[in-house]
This record gives sequence, C-alpha cells and structure tokens, in this order.
Amino acid sequence: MSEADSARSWRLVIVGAVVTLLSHAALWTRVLPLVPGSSTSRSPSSDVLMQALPMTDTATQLAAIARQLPRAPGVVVTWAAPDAVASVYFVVAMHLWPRPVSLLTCSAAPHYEQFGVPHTVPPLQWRIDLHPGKARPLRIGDTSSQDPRALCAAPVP
Amino acid sequence: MNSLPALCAIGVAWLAGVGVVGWAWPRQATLTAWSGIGLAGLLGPFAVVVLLLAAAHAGLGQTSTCAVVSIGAVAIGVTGIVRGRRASGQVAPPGGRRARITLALVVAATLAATLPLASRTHLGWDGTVVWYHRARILAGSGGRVTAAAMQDRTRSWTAPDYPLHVPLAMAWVRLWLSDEDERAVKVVPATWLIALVCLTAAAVLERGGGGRSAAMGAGAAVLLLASAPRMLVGEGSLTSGFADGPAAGLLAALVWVAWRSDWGEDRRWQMLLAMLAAALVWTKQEGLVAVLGVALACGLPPGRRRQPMAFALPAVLVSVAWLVTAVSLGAPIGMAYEWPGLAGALARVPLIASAYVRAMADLSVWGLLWPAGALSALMASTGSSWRGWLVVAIVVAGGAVAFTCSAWPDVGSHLAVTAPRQLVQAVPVSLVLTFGGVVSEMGD
Repeated sequence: MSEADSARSWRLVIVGAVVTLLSHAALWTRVLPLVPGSSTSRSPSSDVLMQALPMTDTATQLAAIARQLPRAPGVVVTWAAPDAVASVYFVVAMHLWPRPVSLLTCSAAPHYEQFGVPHTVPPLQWRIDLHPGKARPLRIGDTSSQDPRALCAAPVP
Repeated sequence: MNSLPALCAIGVAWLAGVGVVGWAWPRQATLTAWSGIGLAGLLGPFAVVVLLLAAAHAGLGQTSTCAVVSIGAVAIGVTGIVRGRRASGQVAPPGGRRARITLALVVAATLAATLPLASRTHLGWDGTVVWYHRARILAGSGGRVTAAAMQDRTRSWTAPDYPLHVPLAMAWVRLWLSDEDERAVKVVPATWLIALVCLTAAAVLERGGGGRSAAMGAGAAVLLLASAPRMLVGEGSLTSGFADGPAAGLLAALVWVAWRSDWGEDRRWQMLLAMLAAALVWTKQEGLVAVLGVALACGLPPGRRRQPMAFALPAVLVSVAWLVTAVSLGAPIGMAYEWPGLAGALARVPLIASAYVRAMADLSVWGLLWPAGALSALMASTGSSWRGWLVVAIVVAGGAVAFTCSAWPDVGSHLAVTAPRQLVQAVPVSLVLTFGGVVSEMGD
C-alpha cells in the first residue's frame, strides 16, 4: 500500500470511528436508564430471575428454606406454563444444591418437565409449590408420591 | 463485607498471570505494560483454575486447597517476574511520549466508565443458572469435579459438559467468601473486561510501532470497544457472567500473538500461543474451532512448515481430555444440538444467514459498529492481516453452522438468543485487525 493510500485509509478509518462513536452515544441515552441501580441484596442476579414470584434477597430466603428441607430429592410444582416459571425453578434448584430438584407442571396434562433430557424422576421427599403474586409465593410441604396427578391435585395449603 | 476477600482472590490470580507472562513471553521481545496487564488478566484466572483443579483432586480440604493454590500462584508470579528481564515498556521512540500518555488517559477513562457498570449489571441468565450455578457446586466440593454433579439429570440444563474455566474462576472467588454474594463474584468478569481493554490497546500500539498514529489507533479501538452498549450491557456482554467475555479476550490475544509471531514462524512464541489456545478451548466449546482456525491460518499457504501449528496440539488434547472426562463421569453431552439430516440442515441456512445479517444491521443494538467496521476493515486490510480475517470468518461461520444442528423447537429463538453473543466474541479481534492493520501501514 502506498503512503498516500495509507494516509487516505487512515483518515477514512478515523472518520468511521468518530461516526460510530456518535451512534453509540445515541444508543446510551436509551440504554443507560435501563441499567440496574446498586443493590443491597447478596443475590441481585438471582432476584432478577425470581421476578415472576416476585422474590427479593433470594439467597437469604432460599437458605432459610433449605434449612427446613431434608437433603433428599424433591420437586417444584407449578400451575403455570413451564416457560413462565423456568427461571424461578432454575434459581430454586441452584440454591438447594445438592438436592436433586425436579419440575412438575400442572398446566394442561400434568407432567415432569425435563428440558430435553428424559430421565427417571428420583424418589421425592419434599415439594415446593409456586404461587406467583400471592403473599406466600413458595409453599413447602412433604410428599412421598411421584404421581403427577396426585401431586397436582393436593397442593400445599 | 465481601469485596475485600474477592479482590484478594482476584489479586492472587493477577499475580499468577503476571508470572505466566514472565515465563512465556520471549526474552528478546519487548513487553509493554499494556501487553503484560492484558495477558495477565486473561491467563491469570486460567492458571489459578489449573492449580485449583490439581489441588482439589489431590484430596486436600477446602482451606488447604485455597492455601496451596495461593502459594502456588504467588510462586508462579514471583518466579515469572524474576525470570522476565524485559525492556521497561518502551515501544515507541521517545518522541511518542505524549501520545502514549494520551493513550493511558483514554484507557484509564474507559475503565473508570465501564467498571461501575460491571458492578451494577447482573450475571445474566446463563451467567447465573449455568456458570454461577456450576461455580457454587464446584466451590461446595472444594474445586473437585464430582460424578454426582455431572450425573444429576435434574440439572442437565446446567450443561455439565461445558468447559470449566469460567465456573472454576468464579468458584475460586467463592472459596474466599464467608457467605453467598453474587455481587462479589462480579470481580471475575470485571477482570476479563480490564484485560480485554488493555490487550486491545497493546495490540494496536504494537502493530503500529508505538508512535503517534499507533497511539491514536489504539485509543480509537479502545473507545469503540468500550462504548458499544451491546458489548457492556445485556446477556453475553463483557460485564455479565457469560463465557463470551473471556472467550473474546482470549481470541483477540491468540490472533494478535499469532500475528506478532509471523503466524507461528517465530517459534519463540509457541509457548504463549499454546497457553492462550488451551485457555480458549477450556472457556467455550467453540474455542476449539477458533484454535483450529488460527492453526490453519498459520499453516497457509501450502509450503509452510507444519511446526507453526504445533501450538494447537495441547489445546486439542485439553478439549478431548475434558470431553472424555465428562462422558466417563456420566454427563449428558450436546444437549442443545442434534443432527436434523442433511436436508434439514441445508433448509436452515437461509434462516441462519438472514439472522446474522439482521443482527449486524440492527442499528438499535449495535449502532454503526458493524457497517462502519466492515468498510474500515476493507480499507485497512493488509497483506499481513488476511490470515487474521480468515480466523474471524471461520469463527463466525463456525458459530453460524452450529445452528443447523440446533435442537430447539424454534431455531429462530435459538438464533435470537445466541447469535448476538457470538458477535460479541468477534468484536475485539476485529478491532485489533482493523486498527492494527492500518497503523502498521502508517508506521510513524
């Protein structure tokens, strides 16, 4: 590349960079108000994913729930479509490790949602019922049944 | 207050990274401060991850593991610094001092603007329920990979077959904390963000010989990288807990070092290339495609010796070894992908191509970054950088081709969620090639 060509390329690249920077500045006026503020919760990322309930300070609340549960397999039961509460289920399962946590959906035909990896549901000893928007969105109970219809028919009071 | 322990944990990682650079950087090659900081931030967490795995599987308890890893990291750091008798960081002739100070101010201002964002944004969906989830599991077992965790079919959605660089780096910080704190873990993506900004400055500055034009080009590349909202905010951004951030940094570093080594011809760089390649394949599965792409670029045209590609062998072995380990421990493999048959795969190509074009042309997300970037790249393309652009093309095409095997019920949804994140990975290396190419021709 000749010196003149190099200089021209350089000027064009710099002009392109300046124009692009201005376009970014315009985007920030829209994006910046959406950036979350500082949080006092120890689990802000989990809190966001629990918005369907909603739940704040997820780590503290789920740690308290975990202390009440045996270290055995259990199930999260929902009467909503799985997609609507998938993130809640994932966060609950995360905070309840090492317990295997299944997801049972009672909408339409009751079934275990296994996210494309069919497997035998382990023997269940506890359940957490999801009630988004209610005063007690998580209700804990015992169970010895794995039958989806039985579990859906008898929610935790 | 968990900030201090988290900073100590990441400080240990940075020290290890400085040591790794000291060991791997060729003695006769000048090492600038920007290069050192950038590479240390990328390779430090990886070095600590390797030490953590070794210590954890040696049967040490959690406290002993932390102590042993910390001592090992400090040892690597100190010995690497002692070994590395380098030039003081002068790349430019003395006349470029004002330009280098300006560049330093640009980088400092960029980090001052972006790091508060990193503290306020969230880990994101995958960053929380996949990477941080696995980090919690690993931290709970002191860094050991257990069969119970790999075989738990109720957690197959955590992708247990994914490589462990990101979750182990988070687990390292988690081991220093007294209790759960998702805010403190953000020091990990913040580290990779700092490293990527410094590395971008270093790469362009070095390509241009360190003069005024080089400093201007480096400053422009840094500003473009850190001013694009999509690069800093959202799923897969550089401040989230996704693996796309470190993958982007390691890819840019690998291509830059390969470029600097005259595409592998200068054998002094093989150790550093091998380390970067190994770190990249252990960050994301598609890292193997990138490493093989760089190896191919080093091996072209026909007639070059095979040895320029030798750096890729350890990375390939790491990738295969992890796959074998995951399978032997009972992890489900390749959940999101299944072969739809040749006709089915070909039928998806127009949808995939249009999704990528739409994503790049979406001014409401990327601004003018991709259109202006494409034009600039065309003008700035030089004989020495075509191999780098080949790697970028392989990485983007490889990511696109993977969607032909998507197992999602709606491939369009899969594209909408994942394609923008793959573009995030391509931005830093593209900026290095564009600005590095044009300043290398200027050379004042």
